[in-house]
Amino acid sequence: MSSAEEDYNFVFKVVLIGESGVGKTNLLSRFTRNEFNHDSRTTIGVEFSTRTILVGNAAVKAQIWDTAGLERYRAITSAYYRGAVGALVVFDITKHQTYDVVDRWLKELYDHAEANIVVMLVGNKTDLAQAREVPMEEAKMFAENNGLLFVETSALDSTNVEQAFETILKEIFNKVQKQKQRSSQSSTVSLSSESPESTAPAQAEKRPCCVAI
Amino acid sequence: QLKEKMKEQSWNILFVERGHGVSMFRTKKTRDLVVRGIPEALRGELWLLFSGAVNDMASNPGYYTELVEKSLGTCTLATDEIERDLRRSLPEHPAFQSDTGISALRRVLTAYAYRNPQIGYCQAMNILTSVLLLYAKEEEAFWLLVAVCERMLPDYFNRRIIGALVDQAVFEELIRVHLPQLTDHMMDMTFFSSVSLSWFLTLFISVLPIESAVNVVDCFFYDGIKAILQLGLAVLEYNMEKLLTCKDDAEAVTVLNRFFDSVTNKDSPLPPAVQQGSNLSDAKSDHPKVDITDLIRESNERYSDIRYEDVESMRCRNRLYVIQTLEATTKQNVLRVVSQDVKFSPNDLDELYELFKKEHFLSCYWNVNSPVLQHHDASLPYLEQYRIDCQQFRVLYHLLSPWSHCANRDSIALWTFRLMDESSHGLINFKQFACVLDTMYNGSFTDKLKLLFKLHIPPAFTEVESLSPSKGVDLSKEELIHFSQLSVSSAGGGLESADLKSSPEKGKGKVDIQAYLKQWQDELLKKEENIKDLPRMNQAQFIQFSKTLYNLFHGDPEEELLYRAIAVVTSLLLKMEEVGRRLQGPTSPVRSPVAIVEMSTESSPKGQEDGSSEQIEGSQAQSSRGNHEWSFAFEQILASLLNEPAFVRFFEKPHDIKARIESAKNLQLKARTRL
Repeated sequence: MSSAEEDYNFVFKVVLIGESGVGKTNLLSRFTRNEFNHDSRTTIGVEFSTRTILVGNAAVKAQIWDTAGLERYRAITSAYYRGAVGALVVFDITKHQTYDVVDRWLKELYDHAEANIVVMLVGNKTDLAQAREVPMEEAKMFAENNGLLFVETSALDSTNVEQAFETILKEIFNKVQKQKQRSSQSSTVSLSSESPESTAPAQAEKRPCCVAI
Repeated sequence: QLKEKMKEQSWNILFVERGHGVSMFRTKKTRDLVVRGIPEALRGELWLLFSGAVNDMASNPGYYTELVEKSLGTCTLATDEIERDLRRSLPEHPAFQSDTGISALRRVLTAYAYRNPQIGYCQAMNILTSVLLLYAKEEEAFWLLVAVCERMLPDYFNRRIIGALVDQAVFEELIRVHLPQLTDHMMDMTFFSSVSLSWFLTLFISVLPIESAVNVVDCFFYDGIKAILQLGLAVLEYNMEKLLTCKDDAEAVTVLNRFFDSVTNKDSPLPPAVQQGSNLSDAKSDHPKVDITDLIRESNERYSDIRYEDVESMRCRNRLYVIQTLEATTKQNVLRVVSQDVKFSPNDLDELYELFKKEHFLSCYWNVNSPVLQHHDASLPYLEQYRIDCQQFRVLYHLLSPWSHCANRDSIALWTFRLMDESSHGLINFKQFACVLDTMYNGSFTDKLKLLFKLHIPPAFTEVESLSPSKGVDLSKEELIHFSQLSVSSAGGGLESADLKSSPEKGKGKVDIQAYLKQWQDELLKKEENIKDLPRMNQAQFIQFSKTLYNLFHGDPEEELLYRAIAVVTSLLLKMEEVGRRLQGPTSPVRSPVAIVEMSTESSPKGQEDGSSEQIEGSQAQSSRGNHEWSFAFEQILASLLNEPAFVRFFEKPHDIKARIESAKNLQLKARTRL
């Protein structure tokens, strides 16, 4: 029922970014509700959904924020990145242009987000393989060179959608665990550079994230 | 259906009593009827009337048809974006499941983008226009869109959607006044910004079921933005209890989404539209149903004291605040990114940013055609928003560089600029600026020397005297611009060669994959730049390098000592080079075998030390054909200079950036007029 009543150990905020029309909203609905909508509307502003999954023995609540891909909305999205510990940079494998601008999205992401954010490059729409414009090897190599996770998905036929989110959540989980160990040793390191109240949600066990209201 | 007939009847009575069409009075009765929801049959007509679009249309007969003819078939960024969104506007409505509806939507949006290139197309306009088309004829819908974009929602859809941000700020102000409990609970008002953006941009159409959303549009056309603000407050108030128990933004968003999904319109004659499940709508939702008419009536009564004039003055007040906030965000992000790479204190960096930004704006003021303005785009990543050209960089270099006393400071400023301007756009950003200044102030001996070395090899280095031999070392503005844009053949090039300059992301259209990957590899390499990877410095470059050192040392208390040290080092280097070559013969590391042949024509090392102009010119002539003479590696130069304590003392001497910043603040305007 209410998401507040679910049992979880961690809350991770993950953002979905990428050009307009690459399928961010459907990736989100496929993962959180197992739905795909051929006729989904353009996302205006910010939307959001959650799902809780198990990583090892820990219940991790993924709080996924979806945003408008249109360029002129970018200037206002800085609040959207705040506290994010993971990001999926999505492109459409059938539209090379959406892949060309990944670089810009990454820059934008690193401009706003914490430096240690876990980033995954996602090539979506593999169900349209006959119209493919971006070779998988190329995107994979780009991801490797830039220290990004990489996966190709289809929100339409569900290929790899679960896996994509699980992989990034696991990676974040591991990073947080390591961070914890390190900070318990030195007791100075914090996951984020901001003030303690607004630190990344990842550290908040059993306590939801972002900005307390 | 009966209700619908009754509503129509009420309006007909009103028309008889208060007039019909443009002569109609706005009375309390009118408002009451609008709040109840305009009947389907009258909607288009009344929207046109209330918005004033009816006048625009009447005074511009044929305008729309002409615009459609001119605009259809054009291909712009806007038309691309429109095309991509046509089927994502109101896809659940039957009207937009056929080509008829889609084509009308395409024509209206394309015509509008053609009419107003300032706005072009912005997502949200597609959703608004779809709804307009449901109730108005195509041409009427166009004029309604004009009224919305240009009068009723001013500045909403331009490059930075400033208008929507302003109204959000007004909304926040109203929340503080009317719902203080909520303000106390929310530690951060930006939450309202993320959640309410779509309320403003789409007049609630994107969050409410369509049959309810049209009632909101009714009120909007009658009352303008005031209706949206009032409804926003009513929505928050209605959900107050739940919102007060929320622990974070996400929970609050969930609460509001559930609420919106539960809104119904019991009066609507339409079958409830199959709403696309906006977030988290689930069948088991036990949210009590809320009727849109009740909600609107309540919003009207509860917040009737909000007057249109107040909203306007709040808009003015908040506009400045919004722009300042955007600027502050830009600055904050730039400083956060740059501070990771430099040793300047946050305070100094902040001051440097202000000086940099001021320089950017000065050029906007004095020169409307400056490349800075032509390239300005507020939707760019933060770092790219403010950039300066070579001309402006020179001003800042003179004001701020610890090496600005150098006689050939213009050349050095020029080479420094060229070194930073890797993309050859003729513009550099604050990060590049701060990093190079950081090396000059806070770099180690090796860092500083490496910078000086790199300034004297391509792509930074370029001959500058050749154009105006008569003049002194100062460069005119034209010369500066000319040289800063000069592309250097990568004759002596190594790492930073020409393929970096033609970086594919700048090119339009299809991208050359190989070049793209190469660029990334190059950038990776550059991060781990090794001393050994630096290209060698040829004869002409070395002579210029020595001259720069002479200039740099001029006026230093240890001037004599430093001069002697240069002489020692240069002659040592030249001897080493000569010996090395004799020993190794043709397999020497010199780049071309031709060098051996040309060795005989070479002037003696002793002569080189004096750097007489005759020899410099000679060597320039040769170097323009190719660098077939002796050359030095950075390691050699570094090793020799390290032997001289005077050098090390000079380069490790601390400089006070604070004092320079202070004087720069005073001199920035004057510096401009002098140049």
